[in-house]
Amino acid sequence: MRGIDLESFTIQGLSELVRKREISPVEIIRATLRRIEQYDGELKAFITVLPDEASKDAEEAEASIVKGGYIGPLHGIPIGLKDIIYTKGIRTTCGSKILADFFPREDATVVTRLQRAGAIIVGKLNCHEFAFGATSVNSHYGTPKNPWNPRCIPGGSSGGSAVGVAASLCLGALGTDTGGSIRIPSSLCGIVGLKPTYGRVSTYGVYPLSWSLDHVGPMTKTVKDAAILLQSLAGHDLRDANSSSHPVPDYLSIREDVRGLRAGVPSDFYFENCDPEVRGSVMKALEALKDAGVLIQEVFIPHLKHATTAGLVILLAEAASKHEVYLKGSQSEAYGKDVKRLLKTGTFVTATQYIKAQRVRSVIREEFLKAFEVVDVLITPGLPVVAPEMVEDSVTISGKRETVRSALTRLMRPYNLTGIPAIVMPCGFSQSGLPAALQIAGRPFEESTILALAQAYEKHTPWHEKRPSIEVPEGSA
Amino acid sequence: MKKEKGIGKETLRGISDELTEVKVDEGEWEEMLIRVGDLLENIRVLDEIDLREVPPGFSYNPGGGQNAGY
Repeated sequence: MRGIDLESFTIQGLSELVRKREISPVEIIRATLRRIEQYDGELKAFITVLPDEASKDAEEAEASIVKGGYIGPLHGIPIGLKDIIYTKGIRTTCGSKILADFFPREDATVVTRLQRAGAIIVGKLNCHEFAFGATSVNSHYGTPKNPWNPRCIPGGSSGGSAVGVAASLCLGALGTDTGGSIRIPSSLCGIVGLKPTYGRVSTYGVYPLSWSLDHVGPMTKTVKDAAILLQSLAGHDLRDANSSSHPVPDYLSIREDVRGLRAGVPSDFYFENCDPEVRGSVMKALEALKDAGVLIQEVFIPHLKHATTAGLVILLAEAASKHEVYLKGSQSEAYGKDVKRLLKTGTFVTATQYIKAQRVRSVIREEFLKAFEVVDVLITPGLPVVAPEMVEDSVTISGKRETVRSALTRLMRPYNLTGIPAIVMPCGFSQSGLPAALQIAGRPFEESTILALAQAYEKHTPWHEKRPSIEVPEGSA
Repeated sequence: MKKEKGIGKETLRGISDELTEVKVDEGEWEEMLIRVGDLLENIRVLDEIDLREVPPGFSYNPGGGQNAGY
């Protein structure tokens, strides 16, 4: 039997071969499970692998395709789910010991939608406990390793999802993003991560971290693959009170010509305290976009610097409320130290402070919408740094020391606070071989515009074609 | 009473014992005082923004993404 080299495939490329019946879903899933077996002992991307379920689903997909029942670009494609997304009858730990034996009674809406599109769920991916952390350091299930350098963090909280995609253990994954949790690990692992507009993708059946900041979205190797996943996920869900009924466009017809698009660069906030190598990569990306005909101008968002505090206050208070029942009981001992202390900090946020943060949110959201009257997108670095080593709890950027948590979240939080869509993608590599990321944000529900710009950039650059060389110590595979 | 950036241990202990009923262990106090102190300091900075005419960030638009206001 011929082997499939998953590293060389994207969803788009593989689905074309499935459609033409040149590769079968059974072959794809076999290759995927083999790769997981080979590398995941070392990488720790998965908490639960689903060999039996995935194999059975692959056989069904194959039978259906043979009968002429091909349903689209996700048919027979291996996808991983962050382990805070409910799967009926399949353990969903949320990366926590508290839910080590939690078997949901129903699927999350996003799972139903993926399966309806023919995707095959190959497993549940590791994450920061309860999605409450930017590193994915996990004392319960082991910390996933960055495939570009196993000594470095993959970022979080959807760290397993990023590692899984970067290492080709699955061709796409779902993550969640409350303060950057899709975009941080995607940036650090050199893949594409899309946080859609708030309400664009249902959060029903996804363990909440902070109801008003939570988003679900795709993590993939390419922009087109992110569009394919978003197409299957987007749309109103009656079971999610925050779900939007805004019409879903055709994300797959990505505009090719980006000439004349107006891009704003809020340089005062996003480029301050930015590692020179990352800044250099982003500046080159801006030049490349300029060459492609994009009109670039500076924009100023007056109260942007307050987004971090407002976002943090809302996050802490809502997370503490969600976890109150565990915090008051004996289960509080089962939290990892870092998450427990963050949650307890949230119990000291007062009602007036929370509401003040929500009011600041209104101000900042209006300022962003005003900026979008003069530009179509905003372009910034994804993160101010490349992946820090696991042992580090602080980083030094241009001589200034900062906690890893702060460095990883401060450029992300504004887009959770405002709910506007944002995508990250690789835009270069540091001398140490670690990926740097570009972030593109757009108007609410204009995911198509940021996908168009991201794809235009991707077309002219080689970064998305680079794959990490994964070292497996002898005897561990 | 030791105070860190404007918040004292006894104040926080009172809140945790009597209001939230979420117990803070002895070993956690030092870090909790620093975290809450930092947070309070940052929240104070939000007063730079004139919020007199600003409602919270909810639009209560059923099916329209109520929290982010779209």
